[in-house]
Amino acid sequence: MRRSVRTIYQDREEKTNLPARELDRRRKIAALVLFFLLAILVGQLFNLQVVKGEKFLELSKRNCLMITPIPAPRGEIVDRDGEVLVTSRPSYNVLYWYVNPSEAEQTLDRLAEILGMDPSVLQRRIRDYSGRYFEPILLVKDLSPEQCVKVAEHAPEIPGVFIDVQPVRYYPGGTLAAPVLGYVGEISSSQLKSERFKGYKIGDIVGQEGLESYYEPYLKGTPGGYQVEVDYRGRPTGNVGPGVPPEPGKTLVLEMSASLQRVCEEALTQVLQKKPKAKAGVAVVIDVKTGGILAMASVPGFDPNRLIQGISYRELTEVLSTGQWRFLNLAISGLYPPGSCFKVVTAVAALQEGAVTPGETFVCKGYHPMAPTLGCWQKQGHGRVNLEDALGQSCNVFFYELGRRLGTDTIAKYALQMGLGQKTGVDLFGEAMGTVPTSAWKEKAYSEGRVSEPELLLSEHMMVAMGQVFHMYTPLQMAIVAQTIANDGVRMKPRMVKAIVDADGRTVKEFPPEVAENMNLPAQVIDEVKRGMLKVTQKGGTAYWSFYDFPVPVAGKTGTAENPLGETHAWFIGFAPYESPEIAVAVLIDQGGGGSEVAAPVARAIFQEYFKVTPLRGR
Amino acid sequence: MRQTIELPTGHFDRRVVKYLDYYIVGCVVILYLLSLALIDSATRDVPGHYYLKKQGLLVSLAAAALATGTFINLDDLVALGWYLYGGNMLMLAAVFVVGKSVMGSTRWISLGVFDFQPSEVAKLATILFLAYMADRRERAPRTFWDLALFYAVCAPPAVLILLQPDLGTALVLFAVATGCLYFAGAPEKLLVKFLAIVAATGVCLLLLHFYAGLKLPLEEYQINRILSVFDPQRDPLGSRYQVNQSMIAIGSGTWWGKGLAKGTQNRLGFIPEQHTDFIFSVAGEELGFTGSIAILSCYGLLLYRCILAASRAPTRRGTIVAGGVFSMLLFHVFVNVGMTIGIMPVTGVPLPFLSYGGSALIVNSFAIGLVLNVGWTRQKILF
Repeated sequence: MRRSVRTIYQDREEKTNLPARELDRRRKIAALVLFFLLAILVGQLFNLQVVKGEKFLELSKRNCLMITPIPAPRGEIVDRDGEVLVTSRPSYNVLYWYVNPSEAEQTLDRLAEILGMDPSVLQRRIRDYSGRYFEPILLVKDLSPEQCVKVAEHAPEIPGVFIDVQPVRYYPGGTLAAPVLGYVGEISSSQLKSERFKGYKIGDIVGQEGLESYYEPYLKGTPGGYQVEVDYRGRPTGNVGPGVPPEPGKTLVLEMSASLQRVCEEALTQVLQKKPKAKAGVAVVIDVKTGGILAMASVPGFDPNRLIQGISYRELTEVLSTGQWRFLNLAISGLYPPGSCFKVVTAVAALQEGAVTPGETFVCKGYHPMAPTLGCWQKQGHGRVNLEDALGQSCNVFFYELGRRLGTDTIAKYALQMGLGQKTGVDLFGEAMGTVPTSAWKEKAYSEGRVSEPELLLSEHMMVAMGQVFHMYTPLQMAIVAQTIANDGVRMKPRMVKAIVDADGRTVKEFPPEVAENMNLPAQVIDEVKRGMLKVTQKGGTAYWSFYDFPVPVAGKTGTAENPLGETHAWFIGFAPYESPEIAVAVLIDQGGGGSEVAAPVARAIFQEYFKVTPLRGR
Repeated sequence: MRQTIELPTGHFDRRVVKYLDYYIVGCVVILYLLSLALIDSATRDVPGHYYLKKQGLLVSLAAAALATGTFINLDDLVALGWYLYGGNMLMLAAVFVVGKSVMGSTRWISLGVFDFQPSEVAKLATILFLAYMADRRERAPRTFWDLALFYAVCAPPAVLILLQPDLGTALVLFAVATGCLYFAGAPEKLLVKFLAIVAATGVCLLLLHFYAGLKLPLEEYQINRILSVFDPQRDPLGSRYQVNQSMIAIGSGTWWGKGLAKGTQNRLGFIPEQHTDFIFSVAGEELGFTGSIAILSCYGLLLYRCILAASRAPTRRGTIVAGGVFSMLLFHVFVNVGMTIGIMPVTGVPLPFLSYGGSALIVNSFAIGLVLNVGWTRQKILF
């Protein structure tokens, strides 16, 4: 007999439910529980969405929005005629979104094939980014245009690879004025800590030397940025929010004349080639009236473009150790004894102090009677000379006598007035101060054990007058000496930058000529010194062979500074035209030999360029 | 003597049209439509509206399940009794043999088109079996041991579910048993006392675990999830990360929400499990406080109508089934929504009708169908 479950079940009496009243009561209590639990949820929802809603809205935005900066184009540097000395060029970089490791290997192999590279190099780049895969990986820097086209053509075969354009600093002149212009590079950790680079972050490109560094605040511009939406892994989704355009850096308009600068560097390079013992050549050209620096050459320099592209450590040490490259701007940081060029300072001091009169003569027998060991460079002596002759022929004995009469401290007073032994205030970092010898200086040097007696000896007073002992000046300071005399005793503050203009060509800042010091020299004093300096380039003068056929009258002074470490340093300072000076020049050849032989021809080349004189002597 | 299983039958009755609880039907339809919108919004990054299409199919299946529940002979269904229980246990055991693991839990049996989750069925099977048990007894459960028996019956399936491991669903069975007992007429004081004892035991076990090294049949992450509700600093990168992101999502919806498919937290993948367990965070972010309240109101109405059906059921089993379904759904809604807003631990409890998941959707729809069934059959045929 079959009985289904259902039958069994239904056989049984229907169980009575709870009484209706009890069920109704339980309904109410259950409803209460329901209401209570829902009220808890509503309460918390109100708390989250209404009370704290704005805060959470902000949090959700912060979750998904990332600010991507747009770098500001760095400002250019142009010369006085608008020739571009420093600019930026586009650099094409290959970047890669590393998302899918299995796909990546194939993609990288293909990319390496397209670019003709070793795939392991690319894989190493990927490994370098380990842990930072949320950002695009920089695979190859600075593609050539051909490589760019190839990558673009094969784009479908290399998913995730894209080309990014970044501005890269470019120096059209290559080595031209490199030590003055400087270069750019990634901010260093010590720079990051300094007050000057407040607000910069790791990886920022900043000016490292020269004008790039000094005018960094103007050149860098203000980066813009846009908001990019990112997903929970920090990867951009392609939705771009509102952005702020970058404000380009300002353009520096230099006082420099690129053509004059080029001539300076060429002339110096030629000299260095002719004189293998010479270590370096420096030339500074200053506008006499304004103090604007028309040229500032320090040879050898370097090629900033190669630095920007990335130079290997080995290459760098090689070019530096062989002397092909030099980062220092010797015009402001190199300290040299001035040699006979200093005689113009002594001459000014002596005339102003009345220690000598223009007509007064002195017989040079080849040595000074009170210190027979102190000879003249002309062994047989210059005979009877006055101040002008002594300057023109660079008679040491005459100036020994002036040194004896003036004393070192009096000479120092004038040296300081002419800007020696102090920073000139030029708009460049790294300027050296130099040393003007005084009795106080000697005492200090003695206490430090650098000299053997505390007082200045008579011979030292005499030698200081002709620039041989203790003096240490930069070529720029010596150029300022020439400028001061040319400008009738009014010393100007030297300046590299004439004006700063913005991207639209509006002048943001101008640098008017600034008088550093007016020596208030009487006309007869200055004229006498100028005449002496004119004699230098005239028959019998030390620089006659460089200027005998030069149509513009040039006033100058040669110098050959003793160097206990090696060859003498060759100097020439001067200005032209003699009647109404326009430019002042200082040339130094580090261990170049004699000033009249080595330095004066460089000065001639400079004047020749400035006054557009056609070469007459087949050079 | 051989017994055969007679499967429940059903029939269409004209009373349905008149006495069907249209509030419940309306709420369920709204929730169905909302589930399509929210799941589509939560899975925008999957091409071709894959989840929307699948959910569409599941919703139509669920509607069929709801209709089946409405017209099935509930008496027959409950009469299956031990067969329901045994079948349920077999399915749960089968999970360990042929089950499919997702993220460390073995909860699914693959049926080709979709994965079937026996623990979802277990909830309803337990309700039906408890109704059967209560019906078999002469009197309503009254003593401590009566209660203990009801709870004990739930223990074997609960243990199997806990082993999957799925703490949330195991707790659902406990809630279901409590609801069934309440509507079966268990004395309230006794029930409260029982619940207090269970809660105290749970706390003691946790304390013993931490201070005496007692080994609990729970994974460490489950314990962490429970404790992180009270101590948000605990496990900040694990489950708490999810909850924090979910809270940010819901909070950032403010009054009116960011609009469907415009929630950044949702769209950019900040909320894990956004289309399943954390679907409410999508609703909170994109529909705002107003939308959240609307959804909770919808649940509130739906659940209240379940209580109403329970209180007016013609039979004891009808009351218990409706009451069990009420307690099951209420537990789900409270624990799930509570989890997304940071006041309940993260447990794998989906939000009824809204979370993506076929088994739960179909079982819940069928369960609501049974409640409708209880509702319309109470009316005597009047000619």
